Amino acid sequence: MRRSLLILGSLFCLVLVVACGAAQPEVVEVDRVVEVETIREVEIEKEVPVEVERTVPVEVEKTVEVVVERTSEKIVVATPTPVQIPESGRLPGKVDPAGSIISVSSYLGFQGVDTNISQDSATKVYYDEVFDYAIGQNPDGTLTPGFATAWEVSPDQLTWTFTIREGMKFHNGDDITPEDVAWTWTRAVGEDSLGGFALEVGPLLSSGFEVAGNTVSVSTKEPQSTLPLFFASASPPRSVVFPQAHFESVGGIDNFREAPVGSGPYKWADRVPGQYIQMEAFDDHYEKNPGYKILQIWDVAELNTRMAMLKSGNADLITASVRSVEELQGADLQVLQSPAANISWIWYNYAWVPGHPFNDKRIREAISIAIDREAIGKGLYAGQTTPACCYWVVEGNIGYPGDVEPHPYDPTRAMQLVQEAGFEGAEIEILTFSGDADFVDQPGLSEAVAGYLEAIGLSTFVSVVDGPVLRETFDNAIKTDDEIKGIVEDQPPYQIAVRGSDTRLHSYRGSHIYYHSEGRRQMMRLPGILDPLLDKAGSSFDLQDQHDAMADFHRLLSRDFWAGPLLEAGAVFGASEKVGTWTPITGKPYPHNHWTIRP
Amino acid sequence: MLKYIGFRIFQALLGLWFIATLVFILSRSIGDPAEVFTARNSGVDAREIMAAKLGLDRPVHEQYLKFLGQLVRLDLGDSVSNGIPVTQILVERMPATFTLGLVALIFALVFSLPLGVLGAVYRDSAIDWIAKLLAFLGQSMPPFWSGIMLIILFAVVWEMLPPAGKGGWQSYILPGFTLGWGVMAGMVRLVRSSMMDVLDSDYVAMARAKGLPEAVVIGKHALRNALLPVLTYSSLVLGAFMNGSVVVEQVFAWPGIGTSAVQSVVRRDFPVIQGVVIVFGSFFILINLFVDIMYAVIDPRIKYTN
Repeated sequence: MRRSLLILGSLFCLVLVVACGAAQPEVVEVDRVVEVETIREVEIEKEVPVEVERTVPVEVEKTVEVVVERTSEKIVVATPTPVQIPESGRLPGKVDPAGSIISVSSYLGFQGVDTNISQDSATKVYYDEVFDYAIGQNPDGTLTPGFATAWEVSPDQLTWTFTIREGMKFHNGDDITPEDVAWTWTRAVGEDSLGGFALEVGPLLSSGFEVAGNTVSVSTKEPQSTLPLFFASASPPRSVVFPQAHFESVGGIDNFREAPVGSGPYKWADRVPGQYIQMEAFDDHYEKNPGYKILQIWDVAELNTRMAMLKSGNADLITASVRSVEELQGADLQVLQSPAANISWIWYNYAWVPGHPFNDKRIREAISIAIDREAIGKGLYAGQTTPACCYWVVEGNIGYPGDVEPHPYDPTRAMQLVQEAGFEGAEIEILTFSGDADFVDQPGLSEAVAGYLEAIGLSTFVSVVDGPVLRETFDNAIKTDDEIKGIVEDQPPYQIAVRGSDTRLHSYRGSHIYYHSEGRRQMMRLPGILDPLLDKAGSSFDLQDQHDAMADFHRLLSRDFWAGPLLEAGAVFGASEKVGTWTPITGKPYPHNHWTIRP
Repeated sequence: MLKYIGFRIFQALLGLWFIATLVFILSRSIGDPAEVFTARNSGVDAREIMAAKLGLDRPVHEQYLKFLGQLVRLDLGDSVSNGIPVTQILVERMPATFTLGLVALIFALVFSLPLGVLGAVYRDSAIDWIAKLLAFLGQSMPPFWSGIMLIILFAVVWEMLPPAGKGGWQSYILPGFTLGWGVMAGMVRLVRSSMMDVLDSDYVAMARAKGLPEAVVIGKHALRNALLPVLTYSSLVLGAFMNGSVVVEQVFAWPGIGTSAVQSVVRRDFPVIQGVVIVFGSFFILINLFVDIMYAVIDPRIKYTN
């Protein structure tokens, strides 16, 4: 017995020593600030944005730009009084609380800084701080010059030329040159690349990126009017620029990844795997001036933990939820919103197939008007959502039709339509998936929709599947005509999807995928109905024409119920008193624009 | 003995191969990685391009053979979501998971041994009921709930401990206790019942008859004999901690393999999924191998045959 105890004890001690040695526990060196219950009334001045619409020329195109004019007014707010937090209660890390901001995101993960890897929008939480994009984005979503001051298409509409801003510097002090830009983009579309540029832009190109003076140009096989959108900060991170000389001097991406050098408002300082990324303000940025010296971005998947971090003074800005608003307000914390970040809707599978029940407009209309969007918003989302009028676009997006109303709630008419169409008792499967980044609690939303459909005499059940499975189910491009015929004959259950997405600055490409008869997914094949509008939007180089065509497209989807828009929701963030002002960008569900945070 | 150990090692390798094969099959059954890594807004047939670049367009048996060949060389491939070698990810994350598991085991032992012994010695007393209550709570409360409650109490209300992350020793307390509590409950019951069996045995009665002090009877004669099943259980629990800390790591934003596993599942990062499951499976196989060998060493009455 003694021998066994000795062996086991020695083993545990050995493992403990090895493991603890590798863990590198960190020592907290600084004090932190949190709130206590003491509440006092103070008067502060707060800027209130007033939105005014006007038409202005942008580069070679015309666009509708929302201009934010600011006035000020006095408001009374309750502010917590800072006190010292005990040493033991501090978050691990070495941040100076006076000049730092701690942002906490959900499912940030670390997807590296390699444009040769396909990276989703979550990476923009740190990409947007460390790097600049060729084309920037205003808080209202409109495009603005980035490190490219202009982007123009040639008279034959086949060559795009980007003029590179002069005098910009990388974080290591090197000048940003057009050669750096061309090299970075060439690498990103290369054969070894799995990134978005290679997959989406590469096949469109007929030439490499060529430098002439302070410009970089590239030619396309066919006219690509929306090509600049791929270079905009609104897209997943693609059009960033790496310092070629530094990249090569450190031996390539394996080392560059660990200490990336960009040109954005914050420079990379440190990464603790699985915990946080730390950045420091870059004083030589050509335009952006961070309000805090240090930015630490944590990766915390659990909402309750993020809330606890904020309440305990261990975080300054967290990704919250539309359901967290009351709790945040109850704790005297700030509630900040990025407007219209997510939208949810219904898809009708095989609605384009003649003879399928969903090809009958009456049934699509019945399903859409059977749903009380206001009640769902109040009951499920604490009144923090609004009924959506349109598929994928919200006010401010290119193609948003301002004259379309959300589908009304009219269960009596819905029941009549179902009876007229002989659809009573039909079995409907509602496919959905659980991805809060696309829309909060889609399974719950689907159950609510199912309840309303049951109320008009339909038989429903909800299937929660994964996102890829859902997309594959509605991907008619991967099914042969015989397969589709077989599936339709085998119905019911008839499938609808309840899903969501972050909103699109420009919905042309996304809409083309699902609603064009030659789109990648071909959920709809209605060449005589929807294709002409999408083709018009895709072929015009005039932004106003693109806007008009897409607005007509969305009007048609709404009028004929080809899609069933459900709810719009803003992204909700909780903030500490250290966030005095912040300028979130429309339609972004993740924390971003940290450099605009001011005390 | 050596023949037996050799046979058990062969069985362990067979188990590892089985796990690797199962993981390979399952990771390709949960969805199309090329679909996930193709941006939704793509206007071209990007999924096929992605599948070709990931080698997913090759016959499955080719993919499988390539996978096994790499595994033999301890090359688990690169993450498809960030390009980092899977082995690097595992090496970065493993210490956090391992230390958390050890801390949880220490918590479980520190609480369960005295409570179990006292519960057995003072049956149906207040201490026995407290031990039973703690065991009941630990087994009935899921860690995602108890963890959040502990965070609210100790980090938000009392501001004594950090709510998340891994750093100084304070950061180990909440996740360690949360992870260890459920196991502690079972261990209390195991120690208590084991002690009760021993306390009723003839040699303990003899020890008392010899006039030995009660502390010596319990501490030297009874507890030592009651500990054998606890030690066995602890070894297995350590393996379970390695694998079962996924939920606790998520709640406490603990930078271990568990959080990495969840993120890789969400992203269909199948090389990481394969790596994590193989590591988890290997833990259990190695611990079982160790325990089996220790049985033969500890208890001479146990004889193994071919």
